[in-house]
Amino acid sequence: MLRGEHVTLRPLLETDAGPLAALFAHPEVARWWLNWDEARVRAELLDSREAAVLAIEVEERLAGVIMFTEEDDPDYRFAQVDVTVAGEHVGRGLGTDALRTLLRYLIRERGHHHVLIDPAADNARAIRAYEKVGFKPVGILRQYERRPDGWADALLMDLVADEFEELEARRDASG
Amino acid sequence: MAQVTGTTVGPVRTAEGLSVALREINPEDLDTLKDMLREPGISRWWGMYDDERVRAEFLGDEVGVYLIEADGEPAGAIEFVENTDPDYRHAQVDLFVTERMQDRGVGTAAVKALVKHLFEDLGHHRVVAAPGAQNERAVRFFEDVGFKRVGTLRQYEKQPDGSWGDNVMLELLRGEFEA
Repeated sequence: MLRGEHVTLRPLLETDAGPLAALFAHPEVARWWLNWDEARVRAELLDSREAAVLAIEVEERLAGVIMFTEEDDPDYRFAQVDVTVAGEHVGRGLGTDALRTLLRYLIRERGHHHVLIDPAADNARAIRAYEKVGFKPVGILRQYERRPDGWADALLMDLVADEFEELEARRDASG
Repeated sequence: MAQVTGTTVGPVRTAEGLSVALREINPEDLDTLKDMLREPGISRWWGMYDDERVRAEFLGDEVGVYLIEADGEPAGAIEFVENTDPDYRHAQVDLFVTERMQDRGVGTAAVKALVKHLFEDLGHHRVVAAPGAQNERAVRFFEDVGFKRVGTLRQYEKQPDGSWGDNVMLELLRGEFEA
């Protein structure tokens, strides 16, 4: 269990599958997370072997999910993350809170020095939020992600531990 | 030009007339690989390899590795890994060429033959490479083949001295490739 300012990150439970599918059905999420019905949530999130997936809770209500994978090759060690919050929870800074909480864990507990994220190139809101947390654009990955109408571009962004910790220290100093 | 016949790709002829072919690597190539990796111009970027590391990185199941042969002689190695997630399908390539065969079109012939194989036989639409940012020659090499620069990944790859070095990510799309 990881605690942020307003959010709690906890392991996913069987009982989350239905509520998560409902969250993914919100139009502002479904635009980026396509066709995530309950069966797919079970197969790719609850039973994921590659990614560690955590539920984002706020005031004991499910607000979204956050997940990470880790490259274990010691010559290329990094973590890759993804996050989504949905419904009434959008626009309250909860995704940012969840992401900062997970980054503190990955950097301080798991010893990562480099973290990647790859939002859709036209998801301006996500990109802005990730920049606020400390991610910087690397460049556009063309034809990177499959969408119903073909391959879409993504923006590859990376964050290094030193810069993240500097931002965190500045946040703490300003209260 | 390149023909795929199961375990070999090519041959392709370079401008100076060298015949370049890719042959799937096998355990008997261990010493050949180790000798090539010991050349200073290669170990500078690839680091130090003993038998165990050669086996783990070149003879395992996770990567497809070919020996590059120029006029029948070992001239380097080229490898690819595939991301097979249907939503993010792509391949990543890397290669080295022996000092004696550098600047003679061998690497270009090898990478073009492999990329053609990835696009035409394995159905990829996107191939990436990520040489060390300080290895300007490798970055230029991929650009000359037709790869376009995505950007710099910071602190991506461990250096022989233990520090983290930047890498340049480049990508090549099927529609942009000229064999």
